[in-house]
Amino acid sequence: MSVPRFDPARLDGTRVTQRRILVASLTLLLVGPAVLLMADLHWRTGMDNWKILHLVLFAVLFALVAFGAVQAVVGFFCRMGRGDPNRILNSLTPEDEARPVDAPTAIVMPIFNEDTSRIMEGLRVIYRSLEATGQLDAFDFFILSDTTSPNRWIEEESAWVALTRQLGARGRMFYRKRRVNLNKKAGNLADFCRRWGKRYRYMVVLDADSIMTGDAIVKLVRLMERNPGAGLIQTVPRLVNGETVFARLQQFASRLYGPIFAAGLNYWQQGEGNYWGHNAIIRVAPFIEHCSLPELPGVEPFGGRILSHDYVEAALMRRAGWSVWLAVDLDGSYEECPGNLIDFAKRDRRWLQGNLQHTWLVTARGLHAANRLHLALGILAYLASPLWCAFLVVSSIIAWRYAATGLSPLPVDSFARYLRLGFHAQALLLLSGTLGLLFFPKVLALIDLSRRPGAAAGFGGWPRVISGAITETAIFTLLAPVLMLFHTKFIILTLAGRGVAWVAQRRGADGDPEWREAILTHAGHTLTGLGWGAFALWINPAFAAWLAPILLGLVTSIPLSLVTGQMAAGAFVKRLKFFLTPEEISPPPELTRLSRNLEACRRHTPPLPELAPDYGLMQAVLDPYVNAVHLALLRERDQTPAAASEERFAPLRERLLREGPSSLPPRDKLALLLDADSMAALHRDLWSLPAERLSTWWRTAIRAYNVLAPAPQTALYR
Amino acid sequence: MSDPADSVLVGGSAPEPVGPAWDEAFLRVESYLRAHQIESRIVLNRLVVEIVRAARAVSDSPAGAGLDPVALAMREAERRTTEWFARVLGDAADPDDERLGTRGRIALVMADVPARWPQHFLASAPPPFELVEAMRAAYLEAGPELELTRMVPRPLDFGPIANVADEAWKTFARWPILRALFGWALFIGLLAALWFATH
Repeated sequence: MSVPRFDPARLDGTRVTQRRILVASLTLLLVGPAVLLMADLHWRTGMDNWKILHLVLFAVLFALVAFGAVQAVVGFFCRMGRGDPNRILNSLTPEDEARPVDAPTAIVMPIFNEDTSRIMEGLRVIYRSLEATGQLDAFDFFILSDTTSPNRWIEEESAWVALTRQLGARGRMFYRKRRVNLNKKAGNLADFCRRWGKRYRYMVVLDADSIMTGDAIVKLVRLMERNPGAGLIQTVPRLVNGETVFARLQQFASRLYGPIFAAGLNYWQQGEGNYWGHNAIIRVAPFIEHCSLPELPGVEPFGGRILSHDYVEAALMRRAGWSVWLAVDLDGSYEECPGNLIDFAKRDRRWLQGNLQHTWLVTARGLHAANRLHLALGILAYLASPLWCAFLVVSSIIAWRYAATGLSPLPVDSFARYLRLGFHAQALLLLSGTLGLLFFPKVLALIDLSRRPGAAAGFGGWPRVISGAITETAIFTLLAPVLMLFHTKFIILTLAGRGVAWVAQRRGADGDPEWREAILTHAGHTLTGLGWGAFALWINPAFAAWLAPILLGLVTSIPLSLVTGQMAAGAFVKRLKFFLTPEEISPPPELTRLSRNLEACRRHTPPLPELAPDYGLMQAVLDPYVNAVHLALLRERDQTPAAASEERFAPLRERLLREGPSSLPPRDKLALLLDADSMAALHRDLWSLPAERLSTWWRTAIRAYNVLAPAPQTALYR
Repeated sequence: MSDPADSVLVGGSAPEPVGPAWDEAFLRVESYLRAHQIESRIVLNRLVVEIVRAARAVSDSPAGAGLDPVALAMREAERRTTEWFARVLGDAADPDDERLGTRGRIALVMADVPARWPQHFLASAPPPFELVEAMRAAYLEAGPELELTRMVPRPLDFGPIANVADEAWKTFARWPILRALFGWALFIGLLAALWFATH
């Protein structure tokens, strides 16, 4: 079935407004009766201030749930038959697809202390995939490093040289490390734009864990060429490579339910979409002209520099008149997700603070209404947690107030007498309605799957789809209250201008969280669950039963977090063919290559344990090649006056060689690594000094270079 | 420096005096060349012996008298490496310039000389044309030619609510007592709200 081609330039604004009115009306249609029923429920036992507060909280939370459900319903219908014609991918013609790509495009990957092997192997896969399309000549690759760990930094430099050499990509794959990480990721990209942005018409922004196929990238460029009014096209990345139960649950859920939500999102936002920070293509010239981020009023954590840049950049792009689209059905865009609940919460902590800052922008002049809605929904995504927490607390207080009187409540008749609902039946109806809205999108997603022949096989067949959906729902129901408490705490601390103290990680061999970290992180959640449970039981056992799923999640948070975050449990679940996704059953060649290459990286001999903490510094000083690469990169930008640096650095160098790296604080080690003259002198002196003038650490390092093959740590040596 | 009690035969010539200091120098040069990924024991041995012997010659001369064998041997290794780089790369730069050594080492690894032409590394014979070509064509390119441009934020009016909040924020920052008063008022208000809610 062919779909008529879509021309975004002719998009009728009135039709878009009608779409939005429909979504809003359906949401209101759900929220209105529910709020009325809740108000009536309270009215039947006598309204008071607590109940008014309870009603307001219910209305806000129910509206959020209803909006999500409506989006899924709309998306479900959009995917019926020939689908929604208003998709940006539908604007391409066969002629566009056949035309060679000649628009200069930069593929940029901002990185910050991530696993170097994963970064480089990801880039290798993307490069090869792009090469296979025959369109490689239009593309340059940029690794934009803000890495602060000396070990990672040196590893990145070495791995970049090796990768460039192995791919024959000199002059096509570049590496830039900033000395000062001004404005974090947004500043990193802005720095790229200021230096080289004028050379490129488009940039494809990737995260360190992104994978995009060559076909997807080429298609994005063609879409931009076809639609000169498009400033940004965001893809919908699929979650892949999950190795723990937690990660596998997320990728299963997002793969199964994601398509209908994405279709619904595209239905109402159209050319006023959002930017999610990566796996997207951006038109560079308007980005440079309009999307530099302003300083927010006030100071951090609420004001100052914008932390979550993506939503704001999309809003600024729209303000300048450029459209922002979601390529809802573009295949070949992937990313990874945190492997356990604690890492997930840590990521949320960063995003939450950034999203709260957007409060300043919701009322900023000149922004489009859709962008204000995106910003508001971003804030509410996290604010919903304390609201939900408050709702439960107020529910407990209302229940306690009933219990405290010692009297049985005597509800009067409902306003809707013809419903003939008892008090408890009405409460149950409300709860069922809320749960129904939460779970209805999942049912729709299953129906959507059933409409596509063979699609269920991609998840391991129907029995595994159904059992996976039920298990996923059960586990996330238990995890949700833990996240609620995490978010509530984060918001309180952010408003108080304080950071969150995390337990120092002591991960297992596979990066698994261990008991100590899980216990210390979740002890508060467990105690809250136990205390709340006891309080609820004391008030009324029936009330405790209502709260049971929430309390159970809190009480079991320690084992739940630990087990779902472990690789062994993830591997076991995978062996049972549980939570499979189509990308696992028939993986695209890019993902197969990535996992094969990473497997090879893991076989490298690890450094000696005593050398490992300063392995990067060791290589940069000792290894002739690593030292040369490091020096060459430093010399390119070195502007430090020689005399000043010599006065400061000579004693540091002497100490480093005589007493070893542990004698210097990290700041001094980093300063030496940044000073080209020092690195040249250290290399020369280390190799020339007799053993008795070197620390034991350096003597071990030199011996290791003679006994072992030199430093097989990075792709440099493969 | 040397211990006349020990000796070895080198190349059928007269025994050379040996000692722990020269052993250490030998090991250090060997480690240094291995760090260049020269894996062939034959090549390594030949080069190390040549370098150490040259260093000993310097040590015996007035210029090297009293100098540490490790330092002398490494200086010789460095000199030979830089000279070889200058010869291969055809660089007119001063062989003492550290940049030549840097460029040479990068060219060495990028052209994969240790794996492809190990026997020619530091050899006195002219290197093969392919090696020279490969090394001369090998250099780092960390970024394309800069094309600087300005990227500055455009003015953004945050709207009346944000402006009032900003003013309040600044006022509170200037007058901490006002901030405290506001906090106390908020606390009292909360208590009042609690009283009204529960009565």
